[in-house]
Formats: sequence, structure tokens, C-alpha cells
Amino acid sequence: MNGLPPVTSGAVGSYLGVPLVVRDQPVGALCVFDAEPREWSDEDVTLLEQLAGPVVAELQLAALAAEYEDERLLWQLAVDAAEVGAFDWNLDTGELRWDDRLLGLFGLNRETFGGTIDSFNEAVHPDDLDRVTEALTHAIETCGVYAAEYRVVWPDGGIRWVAARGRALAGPGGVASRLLGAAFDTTAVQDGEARVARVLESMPTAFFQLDRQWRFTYVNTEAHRLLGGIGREIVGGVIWELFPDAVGSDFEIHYRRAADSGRPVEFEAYYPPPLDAWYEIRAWPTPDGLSVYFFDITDRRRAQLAVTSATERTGLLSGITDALTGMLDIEDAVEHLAQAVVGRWGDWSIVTLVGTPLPSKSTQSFAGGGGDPGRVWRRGLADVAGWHIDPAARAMVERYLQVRIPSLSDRSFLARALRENRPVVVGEQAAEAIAGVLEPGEARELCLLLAPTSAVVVPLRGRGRTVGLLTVFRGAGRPRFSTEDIADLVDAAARAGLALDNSRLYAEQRDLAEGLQRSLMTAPPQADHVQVAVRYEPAAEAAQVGGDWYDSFLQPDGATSVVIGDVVGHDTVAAAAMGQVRGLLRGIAVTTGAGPSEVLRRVDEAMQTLQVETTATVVVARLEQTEEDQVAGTTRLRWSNAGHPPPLVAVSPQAAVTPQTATGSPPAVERAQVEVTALWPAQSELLLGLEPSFPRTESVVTLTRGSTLLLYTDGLVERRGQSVDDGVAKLKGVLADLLADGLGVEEMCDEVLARMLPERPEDDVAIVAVRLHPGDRPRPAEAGPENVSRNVAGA
Amino acid sequence: MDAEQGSASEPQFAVTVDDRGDVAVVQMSGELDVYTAPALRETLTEQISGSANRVVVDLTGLSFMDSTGLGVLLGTRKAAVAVSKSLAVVSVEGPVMRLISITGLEHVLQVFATVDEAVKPD
Repeated sequence: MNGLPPVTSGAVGSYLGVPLVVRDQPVGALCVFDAEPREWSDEDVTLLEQLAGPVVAELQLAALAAEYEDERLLWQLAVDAAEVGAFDWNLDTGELRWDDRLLGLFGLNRETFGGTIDSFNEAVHPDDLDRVTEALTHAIETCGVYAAEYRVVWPDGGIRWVAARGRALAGPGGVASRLLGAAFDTTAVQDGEARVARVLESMPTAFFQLDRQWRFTYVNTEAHRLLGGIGREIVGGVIWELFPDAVGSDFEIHYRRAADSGRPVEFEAYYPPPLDAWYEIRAWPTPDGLSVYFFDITDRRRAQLAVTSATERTGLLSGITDALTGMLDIEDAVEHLAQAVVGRWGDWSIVTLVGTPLPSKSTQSFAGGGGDPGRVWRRGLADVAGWHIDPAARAMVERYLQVRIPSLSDRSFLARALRENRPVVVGEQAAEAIAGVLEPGEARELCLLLAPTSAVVVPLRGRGRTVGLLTVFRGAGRPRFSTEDIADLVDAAARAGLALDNSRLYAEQRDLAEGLQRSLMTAPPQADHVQVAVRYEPAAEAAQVGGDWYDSFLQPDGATSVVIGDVVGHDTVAAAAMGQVRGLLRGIAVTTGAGPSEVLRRVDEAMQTLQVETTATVVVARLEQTEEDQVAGTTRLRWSNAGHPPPLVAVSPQAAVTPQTATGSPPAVERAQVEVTALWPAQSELLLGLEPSFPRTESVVTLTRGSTLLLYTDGLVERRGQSVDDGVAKLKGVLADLLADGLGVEEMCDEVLARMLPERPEDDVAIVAVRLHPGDRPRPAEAGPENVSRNVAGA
Repeated sequence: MDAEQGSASEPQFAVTVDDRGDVAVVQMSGELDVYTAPALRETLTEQISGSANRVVVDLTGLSFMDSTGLGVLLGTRKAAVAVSKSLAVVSVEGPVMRLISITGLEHVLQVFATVDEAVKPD
């Protein structure tokens, strides 16, 4: 205190202070002072102490008032901000007091407001009045809380939403005598909600809400439309009761997952009849339960399935084509076809071929129809393949294949399909229907055992002709053939028909080429002192067959001629041309009796004259024996070569025999050294068919008895990666070996082919081998009988 | 024009044409056999019926030729003669030349050792 300015300035001479205490806490001091120093008496202190009490009270009051004022201000601000209006209803007098704001909420003012509850009731919207009155009554009766939200109709007709809260206060008698409360405008909120509700309602997407007990609380129009198929009221119902098929399904799994995890789910699922539809669903949990919206995607789903199915079908169909086209062997192809259609399209199948010359399982049992005209349709028909989806039934199908065709009557579906050249469908009770067209017997028994319920017979069409028929059967439990199934089978049959046609044509062509070739190869004549062996080996590929030939004939003077030739080109065209050239040559040679070069020249001219449009390499060789030759045991070989690889000649091996030893063991024979010569021309001469004026020469060589001559075509010596010369050298070696081993000419030919040809020859090969035997000794047994025509000299 | 033909099991056969105005030089590589001959035939037919008066067929790039190739050459020669055009072949010692000589075709085909020699007019 001594430091305080009033003290130091001397203004205060004497001081008396008492503490002001509130709840044992000093909050201040009450003091008096005088400028003059003075003595304070005990009564002065007591008086001050007594004054302290009221001072404290006043201070407290002031503080409270200030606090109250602050709070009141705050409250007022809050009320202003919320635009809350207040009411005070005196239940005893009936007076209703509203503040200005509340009047404003109701669109009224002091003049238009009546001041009683009637005014309120008039203002409340008729639809809400009952509800509000009930809330008020309840609050009054219980002396409790009042809460209501209702619409208010303004004098001008406008509608506002008002939310009210209040409290009933009891009077002295314990009964409510006053109701106080506040109210505020909630129109915006209500409108907002109404707007949302309208949007939900009109949304093209189906939407519903479930509460925590899985009860529908809201279902929009679209949802009603999609789910209405259940024929019951949805809102208020429990989803698991209204839609029992959802229990345990993807629906339940996903909904519960969303509810449990608190996270949204998205999924597609199918609901069976009465809805029978696919849905895409999104569900998310809300504080009140689960909100779900969904689309009906049945059409999209069906389209997808159709595409997948179509793709699958196309894949299967093209798979059939690919597989069959790769199969040149008809047996493989029909087996594959029978299996390919089983599964997707049927339970078992049979493939029937028309006019097949190929061996099949049932040709033995097929009687051929005889002279019965009614059975002509089945001539050449053969059930060649069948398959059953059930392995246990396959043996039955196999047996059925063997016995079916002969038992079929003319009314059979097979006959009809053949006749009308279009699919025949047995839609139902196929077993009975088919049994009905089968003669009594094993086939009918088997048919009833196999018990088809439906069947389709589809013709297999090739190029301009029916190649066969495909029959597909379905057993019990499978639906009938749909239009789509039949269309697929017709498609598959078309593809298979063409593929089978190709296989057949290929086989026929190859057979034809080889057949043609072989038909032109006649057995060589066998003159006394000469043994001729011939071989023809077609190329492995059908495309390569045709063009090579051999020939051997006797000219009128008795001389044996051998010919080897090769038409340039391959295939059936070459084979036909070869036939012409071969025929021309032997005709000219035999008629003119001319020597080899003359024959070739004349053939060349004839080819030009006759316009044989081909070229050919040829060797004509003639074995001549004058009387001197006969005596000397020699034969002269005269030949002419038109562009062909050189003939090979092997002189008779001279075996050296060592004399018997004293012990009498058989003489040892040294393996002879065989010399093989290739008769290369000094100058190659032109092949036939280009320039008939080309000067041709012939050469002569003398052969001794036992010699061997080999003529061959380039298929024997031509290989990729080496020249013809290399091949000829190899052939010489092979021939030398074989002759050293003392092989007879037939065996020698086989061995030559075996050693020279690759696994799959690329080119045809024809060879002619001639062995000269001693003329003055009887024809050796291994040479076979003599074979010479009557008008040949010496015969 | 380039033509290529071959399959998984056969080496590639390729034909190229060098158009030198009055002379067309047809060159090739690979194996000439029944499978690849059609490609050559097509090219040669085109050249014979084209603007060039002389067609030179260079066989030196071939690793193999059989009678099918001969057939193509002969067919081309015939077509050339028919329209008064000339055909020349380029070939050097080897299997292809051997085939040409064994068949005596060197007597009817003009065979040269190089393209330069072959393109000179007759």
C-alpha cells in the first residue's frame, strides 16, 4: 500500500479497509480514507464490516445481471440467425402470444392474428392439423415436450413448412397451464427433400431402400415396375420374404457384405421366375440401412450369350472344315465328322456315304438291292462312321452301322433326305418313328435300344452331287432341335460335303494317274536270249505321278527293242501325252523296222504333225544279233538318246575259280569285279517335241553273254543338292555291287529301287533291265517262259 | 514385280524382274520345282507379253531345277517365238546347266554365262 500513488502523493492520510469475501474467497476490499490522519474506532470497523455484506450482494447481482445480459444477447443473436419465432400459450386463459418472427412465419401480422389457438389451427394445413393437434395435446397431458413439423397455409395460399419445439409447464395444480415454444421455417429443407424424392421417383433406374431389418422403406416407380412381378405390396415387406429366391443367392451375399463391411458393392445376378431376369446391382450402406439401385440387363446378357454362342458355333463349324480339309484320307475324315457333331449338336451320329468304292464297314452286309427298283436308292449307300457321346453305347452304334441300311424301307428318312436333297427332321419320338421304317430285325431292336428322341438327317453336298448323309440323334433329356441347330448342321454338312468331295477327288485322281500309267505298261515280250525286267514306281505325291514310261517290243526282224522315256511335266496331262508318244513310238518302230535314231526322228516329226504338245526325253535301244554275233556269243546294242540320262551297261562278270583242293572242299569263288559303263553321248541330242529337223545319231556297242543293260528315268538319279552326274555315279556303284553278288535281273531291279529311292520319292521312276543270256544254251529257268508274237522273225 | 512362293518345308523361291526397257532380265533364287514353277511361269508370261523384245532368264541363282523348270523354259520359248521375241538363258556350270545340256537344250536355247552377255541383242 505504501507504494500506491494516492499514498505517496499525500492525498491519503488515513485508511480503513475490510475484505469483500464471496464463498471464502476474497474478491475485493471496501475501504474508506481521509486526507487527515485519524484514529479509527472499533465502531468504525464494525460498521464497515456490516456494509461489506450488502456491497458483496450488490456486486454479485451486478455480475449476474451482466452475465445475463451477455447470454441474452447471444441468445438473441442465435434466434435472429435461425429466424426462430417464439410462442407462449396460456392454457388457462387461452391466450396465445406470438412474437413478430413467428407471425412472419405464418404470414400474419398483429392485425390478422387473432391471438388464440384457433388462429393457429386455421393456419395449419388441413392434412397436417390432426397430427399437430395430437402432438400438442400429448405434450399438455403429459406436461412434456412438444415437437411437430407441419405445413402452414398463408392467407395468400402459399405453403411453408414449419418445425416447432416446445414445452408444457405445469401450474400450481400440477396440471399444465402454459405451453412455451419456438418454431422455424423448414420449407427449403422440405422442398429440397421433396425435390430429391421427385427425382428418385422419376428416375429411369430402379431404386429402393431397406432399413436395418431388411424391410423396404422406399421403392421408386421404376423399381416397382421391375419388381412388381411378384404381385405383392413391396414397401414395408422384408426382402427375404418377398423374394425368397434371393436367400442364399448372390443377392444375399452381396447385400450382407455391403451392410457388414460398410462399403458399396456392385454385381450382376439372375433372379428366376416370376422375374426371370438378369440385373446389374449397386448397393451401399447408409446409416438407416441399405440403398440399392439396379438395371435390368437381361437383353444385354442374352445378346452377349448369343454372341458367345455364335462365336462358339462358328468356331466349331470352322474347326470341322479345317480338320476335314486336312484329311485326305476319307476314312479319317468321316470318323472325325461323326465325332465333331456329337456333344454340342447331338448325342450320337452316323455318317453315310454315297457311291463309295472305298472299303467300309457295311459294304459286306449291303445286298446291292438286286433287281428290286424300289431299293435302287440305297445302291452304293454305306454307313461308314458313327459316334456316341456315351462310350458304353458306342459298340451298339457300330453294330447299328452294319445292319441299318439293308433294313431300311423306302419310306425311311434317309431315302427322303436323299430324294428331296434337304434336311429331314424327326422332331419327337424318333425311336418309334425310325423303328417304323426299319424292317423287323436286329436294326430295329438296336434303334429302340439306342432310344433317340429326335433326329435330323442332313445331306452332305459336294460339288454338284450328294456325297453322303449326316444323321444326328438326340436322346432323352435333350430338347428338340432348334432352327438354329438345324441351320448349324446344314452348314457343317455343307463344309463336310465339300471336304469329303475333295478327299474323294484326290483319291480318285491319284488312283487314276497311277492306273493310267500302269495300264500303259504292258508286260515285256521275252525273246529267247534276252530277259527283260521292268519296274514302275509312282511318286509319293499324287501331283507328281505321270510322265515316265518304259516299253519293250520286238521288231519284225526279231530284234528286241527297249525304250525308256520321260514326258516333261507331271500329272494326268503328262500321263495322257506320254500315252500318245509311247504309242507313236512303238507303232513307228514296229511298222518301219527302222533303227533307233530313225525311229526317234520319225516320232519327232509325227508329234509335230499330230500336234502332240509335249516334250519328252527318250532312249531307244535295240539288241541285234547277226549270225556272226550268234556264233561269237555277242550281241550288239544299238541305241539313240534324245536328251535322256545315259543307259548303264555291265559286262558279264568273270568269276575266277580256284581249283579244288586235295581235301575235296568246294571251289572258292572270288567275288567278281564288275565294270559298269555309263553310255554318255559325245554330244547330247535334243529331246523330242521341239525340232524334228534336229540331226540324230545312233551308237553301237558290243555286249557279251551275261551282260546287263539298265535303262532308267531321272527320278532314279536326280536329287536336290546334287547333279545328275552324282546320281549316275551312285547308280553305277549300286549296280556293280548287285551284279557282283550275282543277282538275277528281277531281284536286281527291286534292289536298285530299294537302294536308290528315298522314303517318299518326289518323282516317278521307271526302269528297264535287260540280261543277255547265252543263246546256244536253253533259256534259263529264271528267265521265265518265252513270250514272242507270231509275226516276228524267228518265232 | 516380286513373287515369292514357299512353304514351311521348302526353301523360299523368289523371282525378280529388272526392266531395262527393251530387255527384261528375270532373276531368281531358291529351288525351281513343281510347287514353285507356277510363280516363274506367271512372271515369264507377263514379260513375254510386255514391252520388252528380249527376255533374259538368269538361272544362276537357282540351287535346284528339275524337268518342271525345263517345261517352263520351253513353254516360254514357244511363246516368245510366237510373238517374234527372243529368249536367252544365263547359266553356269552346275546341276542346272547339266540338266540343260543332258536334254540337249543348249541346241535350241541361247545360253550365256553372264547377264551382260545375254542382254546384248542377237
